[in-house]
Amino acid sequence: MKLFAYIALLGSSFFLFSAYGRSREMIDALNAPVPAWLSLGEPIRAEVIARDVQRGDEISFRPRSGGATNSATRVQIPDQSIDVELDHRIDYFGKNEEGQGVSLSPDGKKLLVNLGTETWLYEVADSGRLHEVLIDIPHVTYDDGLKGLIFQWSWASDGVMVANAEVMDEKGHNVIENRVYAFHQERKSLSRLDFSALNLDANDPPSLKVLGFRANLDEIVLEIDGKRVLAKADLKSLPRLLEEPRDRRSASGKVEGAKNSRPMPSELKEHQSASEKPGSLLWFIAGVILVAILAFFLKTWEGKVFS
Amino acid sequence: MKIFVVLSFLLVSLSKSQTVELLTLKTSPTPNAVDLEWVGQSGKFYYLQCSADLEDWNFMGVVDAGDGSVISYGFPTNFTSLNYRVVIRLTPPTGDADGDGLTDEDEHFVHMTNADDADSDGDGVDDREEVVAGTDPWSDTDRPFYVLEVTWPSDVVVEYFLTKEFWVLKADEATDPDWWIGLSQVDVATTLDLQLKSFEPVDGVTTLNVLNFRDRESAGADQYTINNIALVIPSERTASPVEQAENNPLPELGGYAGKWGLYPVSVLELSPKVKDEEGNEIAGSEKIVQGRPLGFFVEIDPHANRIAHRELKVKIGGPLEDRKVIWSLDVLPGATPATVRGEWEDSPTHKDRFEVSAVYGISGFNRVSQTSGETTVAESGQTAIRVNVPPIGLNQVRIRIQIEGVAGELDLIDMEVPAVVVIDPGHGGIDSGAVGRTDNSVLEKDLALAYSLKLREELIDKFKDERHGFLVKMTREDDSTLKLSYRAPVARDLGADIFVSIHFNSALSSSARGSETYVERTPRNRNQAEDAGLASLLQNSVVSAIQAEDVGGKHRLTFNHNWVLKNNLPILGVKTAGFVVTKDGAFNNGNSTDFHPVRACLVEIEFISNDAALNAVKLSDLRGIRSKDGFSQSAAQDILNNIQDQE
Repeated sequence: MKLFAYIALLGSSFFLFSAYGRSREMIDALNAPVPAWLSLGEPIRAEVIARDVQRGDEISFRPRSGGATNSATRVQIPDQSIDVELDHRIDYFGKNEEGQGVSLSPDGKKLLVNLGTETWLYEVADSGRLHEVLIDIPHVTYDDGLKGLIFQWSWASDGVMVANAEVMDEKGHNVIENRVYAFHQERKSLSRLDFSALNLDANDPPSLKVLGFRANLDEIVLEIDGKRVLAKADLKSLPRLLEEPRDRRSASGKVEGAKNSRPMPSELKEHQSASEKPGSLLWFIAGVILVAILAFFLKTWEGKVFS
Repeated sequence: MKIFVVLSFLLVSLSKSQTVELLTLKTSPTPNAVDLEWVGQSGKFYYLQCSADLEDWNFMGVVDAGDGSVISYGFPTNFTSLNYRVVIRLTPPTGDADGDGLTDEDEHFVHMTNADDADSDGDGVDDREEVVAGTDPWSDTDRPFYVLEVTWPSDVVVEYFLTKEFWVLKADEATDPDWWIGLSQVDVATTLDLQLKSFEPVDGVTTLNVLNFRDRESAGADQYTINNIALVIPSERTASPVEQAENNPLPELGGYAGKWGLYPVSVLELSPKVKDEEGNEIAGSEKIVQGRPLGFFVEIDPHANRIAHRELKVKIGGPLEDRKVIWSLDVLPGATPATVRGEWEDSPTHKDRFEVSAVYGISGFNRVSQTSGETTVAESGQTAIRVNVPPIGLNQVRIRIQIEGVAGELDLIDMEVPAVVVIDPGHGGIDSGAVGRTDNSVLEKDLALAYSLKLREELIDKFKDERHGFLVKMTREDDSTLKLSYRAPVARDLGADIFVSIHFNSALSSSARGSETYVERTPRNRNQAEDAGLASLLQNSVVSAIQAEDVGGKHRLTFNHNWVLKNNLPILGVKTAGFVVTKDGAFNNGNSTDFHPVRACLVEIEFISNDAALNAVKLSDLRGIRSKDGFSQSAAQDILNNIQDQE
């Protein structure tokens, strides 16, 4: 009877920790190999300059939207008197004075438009029209560690983009880690910003959002759990590559996935990155519990036999 | 009398976007009645037509958008034989085909009027005017009383317009120039129907004490009262008794020379404009509305403002230049709840009911805070003020405008803080969430989206039925991937009252089932009791909806019974967790701007890893459609009740 109870306990713990699983599509996306056109750069270290910056103090910084705004389908660039309806939706979450779904480059000629893990690039013509341009932008965190998705690319300069990334648990209800990535467009290299100096709580990861940049690209304004933080980070210098792209030629003129830069399946190419096996954390926890229960069981069993 | 309902089986291409096609219609066995029912396909829009001869088809004013659920329509009929057909369009009804000022969509979905006929009931009044006036656009005997003609003393014509922007009492130009007038105690409309009244001339009386006009459909609740109506004095009658009166001298007022008139206050502009769920400004939102829903208060920036407000620019009249205007604000008579909830003092920056500019200007306020609203009529006859109200959904207030030295109000403006609800369909895009165990075509993200869209539809219907202002925002409306941490801030940025995240559950054990609802755990949750109150309502609704289709539906009991007991809440199936989307930190709840806490919960409808539960919720099964509809209808009522009940 007791043996049955142990088995039941073991089974229930297994069920408990295996209750949810990612979809095949999600697993494939997170474990996709690094695309041939993409190279991975070393992390860019970020250090805190000031915490709890008051709203308005960062006035000398360029907002991540570059002054563009948007609704669910419209883009406005007030400085150029542009108000255009697009044929696709845009990230829009309600109040949107800062333009959550769009980002205009400092030269005012390139507009990034985001919808979830899709990003469009438009050239802003002198006529005020927007012309779509094919572009490669990653939406998966290909570097080491747990894998997540990259959202909302924005222009830090005319050639450097920055975006937030989110690593979720398998259930899809919690964020394990928030990150920020930089993408140097010409070299097509992706680098994570290293926030280890900020001493963020790893057990309860704070929300992390990019708000703006200094013109010389050495400082960045972040919103961490609702508080504005000024950080020093060299976004201008090209970080040293961790790994050279295997086939640069395939990246040039690449059409697939370029229209809106979906991360899948166009990024499923070539060599495998440091892989994250789906469910590894939960399996680990289940394993620990299994060992503990077995140990307890054996101890009880020994007591029965030898006492 | 037996009814022969002939259902046409036509498949006729009428245009690229409109077809008539064969449908299997369920008809009613009830005599003298027609009861039709069919499954509306997503992306199609259904219109019902009838014909006696199969040639001349008449639009019946029924339309619905297909969403995979059953469309039902029933009506009585005296015809012994009539043909019905369903017209299907592939494009939504937009535009204004009959030019009556109502969009086709509103005519079809909201007012049920004929989109192809500006005057559905043929009573000579356009549908829009009837909608504004609150009369029945399908009844030619129920029409607005726009003009009352009263003959007094011989040729005077009194015109009454059913709009507060244009209260006019005027004398006909042909009136004998020698007559003069003083009106005393005019009391009109003591019943719900406006009546003709004779005005008795009284020499030397200078003011109208009370003039009441009542909206017929709300006896008393919407009673418009104007006291001390100023009279427009023709310039050639400067010696009129009105001006000579000692007790209440009035200035000579221009603008209506040659006529007698009530002194009108018209709202020129409300700013800022209201934006819809898509972030686009709503045309006409700068104008005050008549009747219900009331005019909107808005929140520009809930982070900094934490107050709902609107700036009002009104025209009172040039002759009153430099006169002081006094503004006051109270709860709207008959409002539910009968109080203005929240405290102005809780707002970090706008603690007063009114804010005015030091110098009147068309744009901008210098924000000279004061507790009593006082402005001065400019040379243009205009004045402006900013009105602040605690941003609690469905707070309803009446703003009174008075002229210093004149008893009673010059005008009343009724406004409301709209209810704001954010619905969050879980997962999406490449993140499918859970997968149906015995039917892997069923994905959590699809179910969550379908249930959420239906809930939105029911909420919109509910708020419209109750004539409330509202904003229902979805975090996603399609199959797009959405960053988890972007979801809750939608509610924060909109100053939402409620955030509801819809999910479906899964477990390795195929026997696991039941419904459960999550709120954030303490100590981080600053308003857990409020969250739990909402959660318990929705939890009961979802269990009832599932149980109606499957006897196995049940509350998935919480392990945390102590929390249930501690909060004295009869909550079954309500649990606590640290899910990102329900975190108060993401809503800014509990910070220094703890003024408008968002109530949030995450509903796990059922386990799609359980075969019986899956069949009770999946949309390829009629039971699933009924579960979706049942939950959505009940949850919409829950949400409305919860917003009205919040303190």
